[in-house]
Amino acid sequence: MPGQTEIKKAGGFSFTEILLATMVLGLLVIYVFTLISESNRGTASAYHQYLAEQVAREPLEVFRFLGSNRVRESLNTGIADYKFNEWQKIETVSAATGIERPEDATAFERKITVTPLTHKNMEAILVQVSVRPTRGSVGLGVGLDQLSRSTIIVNQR
Amino acid sequence: MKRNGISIIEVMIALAVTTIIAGPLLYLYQSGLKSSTSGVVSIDILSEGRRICTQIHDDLKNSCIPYRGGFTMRFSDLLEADFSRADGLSGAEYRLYRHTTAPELIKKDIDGQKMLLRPVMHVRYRLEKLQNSDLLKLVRIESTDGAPERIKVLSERVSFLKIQPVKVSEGGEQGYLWNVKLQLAYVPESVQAGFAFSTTDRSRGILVNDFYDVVYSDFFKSVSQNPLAPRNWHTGLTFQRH
Repeated sequence: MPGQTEIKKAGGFSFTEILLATMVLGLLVIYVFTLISESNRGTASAYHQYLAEQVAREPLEVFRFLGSNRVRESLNTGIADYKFNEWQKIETVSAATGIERPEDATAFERKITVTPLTHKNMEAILVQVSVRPTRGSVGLGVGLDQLSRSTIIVNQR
Repeated sequence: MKRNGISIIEVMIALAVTTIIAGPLLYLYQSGLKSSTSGVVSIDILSEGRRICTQIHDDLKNSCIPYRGGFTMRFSDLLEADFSRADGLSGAEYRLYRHTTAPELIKKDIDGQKMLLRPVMHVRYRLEKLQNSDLLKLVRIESTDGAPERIKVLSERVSFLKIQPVKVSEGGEQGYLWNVKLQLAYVPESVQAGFAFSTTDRSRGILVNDFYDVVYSDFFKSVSQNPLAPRNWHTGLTFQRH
């Protein structure tokens, strides 16, 4: 109509829309990066859990080999460099036995507890081994502070 | 007259915006892909290492010395490490005899004596060179009397394997166990040639996992800790005919 001004709406995105889109994209990128880093941590902790398990199994195998009687006799002194009832750092090479362990195993410490058991004429020992990461080292995974393994060794007459 | 269509400036701006957005997205995609691959390979190496260690553990645990009428035996007779044809670790072989898991006995004539023996199996672990790779192939060869050899490739990414005896001394007595050390690695083709690897380097896609184990022989433990026991009690029993 003559005398009326036509207001043309400008096409394109407003500043708020672009800001919102950038925020959504940013959040998405952060989420994906977190996912990647969590995945890496997960695979690394699977390996460390394996190592912790081997560190726990090692004294069990050695004590099974020595037998219940010989372990009982050494309750106050410990066996080779396996000390009882105290947290002990893991070395790459055992000075007493020469057992070699991977470098990554030094990220753990181990506590061995031996309890003598007697039932009627039967004598045995309960060996409990706990393994935990040293301070500042990699963990064992979400919700896992330490790993424990145990065995009962019966005296064979 | 106003022309319809897109101007070169608009195209250039659109391209620039696309590049700015696509750059980080591509980086994200690539690092995600790399991480995913490395995660899968890492889990694969871990399960392969565990499998090999379990197999070696079982072989060493059941290792024995076949009864040949003699009474002397040493721990070192249980496992033979042959590096005579080895170039580095390639060509090295570990050999042992072990009991089979079958609970049957076989009749055998030894020096005119009729025996009932537990079947014994010969096992070899051989490290072989791989083409275009610094890593080694680990093969397990199993053979029993009268049966064809069973060959199984356990891994193609071994960078180190050592089985050595360790001594535990306690109360004036000493005993021997084995210490197994295994290293598996994954090295991408781009960094393969002559590259010395020792630890994991995720930025280059290199993964190195170390495994270890301690194991004793059930047979040798029984014999060494019971000196009065007949030396053949575990491997064979005299077959008596009445």
